Amino acid sequence: MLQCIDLGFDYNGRTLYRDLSLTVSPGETVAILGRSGCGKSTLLRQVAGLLEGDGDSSWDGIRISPDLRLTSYVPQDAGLLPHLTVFENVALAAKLGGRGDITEHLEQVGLRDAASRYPSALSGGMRARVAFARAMMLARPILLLDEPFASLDARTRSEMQNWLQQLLQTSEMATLLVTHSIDEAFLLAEHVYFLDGTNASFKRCADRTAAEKYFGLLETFPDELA
Amino acid sequence: MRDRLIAGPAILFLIEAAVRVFKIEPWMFPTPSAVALQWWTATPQLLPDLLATASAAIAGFLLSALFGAAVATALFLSPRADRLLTPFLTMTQNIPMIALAPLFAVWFGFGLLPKLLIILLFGFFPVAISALSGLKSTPAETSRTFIILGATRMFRLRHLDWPHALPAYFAGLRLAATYAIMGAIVAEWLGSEHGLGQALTMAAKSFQTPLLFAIILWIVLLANIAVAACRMLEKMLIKGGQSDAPVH
Repeated sequence: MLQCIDLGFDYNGRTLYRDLSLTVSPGETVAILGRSGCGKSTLLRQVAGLLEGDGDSSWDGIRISPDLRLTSYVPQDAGLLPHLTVFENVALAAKLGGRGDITEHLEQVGLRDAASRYPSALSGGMRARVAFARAMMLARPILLLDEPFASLDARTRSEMQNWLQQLLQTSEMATLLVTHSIDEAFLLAEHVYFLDGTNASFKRCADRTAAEKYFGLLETFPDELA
Repeated sequence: MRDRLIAGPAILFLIEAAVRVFKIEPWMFPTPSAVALQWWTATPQLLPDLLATASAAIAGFLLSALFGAAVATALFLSPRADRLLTPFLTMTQNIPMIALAPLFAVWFGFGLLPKLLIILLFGFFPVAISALSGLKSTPAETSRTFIILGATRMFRLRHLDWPHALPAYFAGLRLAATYAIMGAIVAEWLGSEHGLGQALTMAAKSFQTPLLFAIILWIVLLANIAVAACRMLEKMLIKGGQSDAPVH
């Protein structure tokens, strides 16, 4: 189980978040909602062990560090290497401890026919799919998703969200997703939290209405939902 | 392309006509036809010089390519050394290297070693600076992604940083290829038994201007062949539509 206890992070004298605790079980997806610049990506990097801050994040009691290779990660821009083909990008995961049949993973994300294409010849949605194929190849217990569809147009984004929903339903990974889309968070995750960049607080959203209020009424009625 | 094919011969024709109409002495400015004839007839006797210059330039270029890449990698891997040394490396761009060349002749004589060192002096700095700048061009988000995925420093150097650096590195290599020919010529001016630089000096001293032009033509050809070879290698090695990098 992914366990984050009392995480906190200061950047340039500003506290992005503090006393942030959450758990994600295998096969479960937790979403963290927040506006741009509230520290969502920083939080993911701290969970991955890339950034040092307050608190601890661990997997089954073991403190997470990149060297332990416990996490898969899909960033906003997919993080593909431009000089490698789709096949080679996924195959590179094998050198990072990944396993499985590359063609099978490409088949799973619907990109078998695009295996020999370079990332520059792919659409944003296809690039995201390659990043997911790489993540599946790595087969790590934790999957961190940093707004993987943020750069896509509304229609493609919706298609990709539905596609990912199906993928996550059969996944055994503990998935932590950060996003600024309420729709995306509630479609993909079992539990949704709101990271409030203005007062560094972290609140659970019981339902969509709560999340919408956090987003829309934050400045006007800060205590209403406390 | 078609315009250029017409423009080239047209310019040569105009020069030919002007030299003939104004009756300019051949030792002052020979006609293009005289230069072409000289180039054709002198090439067999220039062959040893041509080979001497080309082989020294190729060896010096390869040394520049290797040392430039090695130093850039070392500076990239050591931020402290980068902070200390890179400003000096960048400053060398402002030094006219040709002024330093005679020092090598004084220190090492007139053999192959000073020739190679002079070519290295000309070619090393643009290669090292371009490669270092290219190594630093890997997008931060890509590096972060691979660190999170557990990639070691060496893995990132091999699979991320060097492939991202290739366009800039090749921009430096193209400069070094031209500088290698120039370095070889300068070294041969300073003192050498063979080479186009030495032949150039001899032709100038004896006012054999058509021969001088013929040698210059060979030097230009050599430089163009070197740059074309770099471009060909670049096209073979750089994949995925990475664009040409600017020269640093």
